[in-house]
Amino acid sequence: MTQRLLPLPAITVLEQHFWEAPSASYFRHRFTLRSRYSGALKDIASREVKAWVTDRAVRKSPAEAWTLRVAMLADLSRMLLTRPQQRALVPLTSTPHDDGHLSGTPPVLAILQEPPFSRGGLADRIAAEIKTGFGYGFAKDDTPVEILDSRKEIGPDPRLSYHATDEKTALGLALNAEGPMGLTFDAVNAPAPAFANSMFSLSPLSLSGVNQNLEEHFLGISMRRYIDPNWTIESSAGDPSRLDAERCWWIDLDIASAPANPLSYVADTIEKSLIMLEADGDALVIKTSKAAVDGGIAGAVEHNVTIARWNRAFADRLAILHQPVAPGRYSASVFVLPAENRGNVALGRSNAPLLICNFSGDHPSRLQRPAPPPSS
Amino acid sequence: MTTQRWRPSGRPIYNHIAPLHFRDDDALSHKAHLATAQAAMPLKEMPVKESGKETDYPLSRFEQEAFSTAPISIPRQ
Repeated sequence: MTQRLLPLPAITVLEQHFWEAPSASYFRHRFTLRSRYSGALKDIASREVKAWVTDRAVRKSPAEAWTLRVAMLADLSRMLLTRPQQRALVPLTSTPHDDGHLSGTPPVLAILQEPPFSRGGLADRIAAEIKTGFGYGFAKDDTPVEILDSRKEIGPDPRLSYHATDEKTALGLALNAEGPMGLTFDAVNAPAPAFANSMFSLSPLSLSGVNQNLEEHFLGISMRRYIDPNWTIESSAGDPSRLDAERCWWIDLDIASAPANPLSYVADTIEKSLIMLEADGDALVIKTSKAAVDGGIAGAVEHNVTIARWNRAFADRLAILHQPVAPGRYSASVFVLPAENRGNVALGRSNAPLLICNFSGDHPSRLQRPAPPPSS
Repeated sequence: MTTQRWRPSGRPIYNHIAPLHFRDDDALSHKAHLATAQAAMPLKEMPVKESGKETDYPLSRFEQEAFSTAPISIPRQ
């Protein structure tokens, strides 16, 4: 597209792009300046100037191949989020590549009936997790039934082993979701294939730092869509001690300076801890209160239950995602940002946060998070 | 003027970026309020420097993954 520049001080609009979709996108532009006397110039090289580095050998970084780039951020207020349209889980029989560095566990493919990045564009993220289930029972003879423990839904094939996965090992397992990969019906070499469906490759990841052999295991998988807060228009953060529970919140914390109870809720004007972060030797554990998950029934002996565990060296940041899922029902997801192998393409790792546990409960009429310590 | 808009390339993006970190303040016609993200934000590369040497180009890496258009080679059977 060619535009004639107006004489100064008039402003020339080169091109206008309207991005009306609420999803996030990205534009990049190259400018070429052509002399108005180019037709009369004998030297072809002086007729026009390219406003980007044309020689690949001279470019310091590939970004210099474009003059201007613009990120269009997502508008959360207009976006309708759906759960990932998962249609099939296909276990593979061998790893895609085994170079000795990777654990030998073959991944599970999750097939989704939706195009890649379908809802939020570049802000769209889908996280996968091993489901967290709660075990119920009686702590004492004369008390009502209550939550006794939480378990990740993973375990060996009962025909091969009589023993369940060790509790601490199971709590320290997560799923690395590699994707989305686009699936198309177009020809292999089509220049712009239409991706009707998408796919994720899910491989188990041990947060304890010790690789587990997880072949011949059964596991429960759930997937969750969220919008990357880095790719959204900022809205007012509000008072951290009075967060509206009917909205989604992304709470980002540095683990080294995180408080012991990063998130609380208020029920009947009494403040109660919702998520607790505790040290246990070399590991860090996330606990939640039984009353928040189980409709107000606190345990007779132990009031909290451990829902996730990871080695202290594994992650340096923590994020909590609060989502209302139905009237009076809320879900809290805990993510960690791994310290190593972040964005390592050879290992299939992205630098997106890793979902380590999720639970849903009822009744927080208001959320509270402790105010961040004053910066010195 | 040549323009390219992002559309899914069918390949995963491994190295995501936080656009606000790469905001190009010089390209803005009106100076933005610090630390607030605008709906449309011009970006520029911010190389990672170690002891004065540029070691990594995160925006370039993100663009290469997001705009990947190289045809996928399938080995002949």
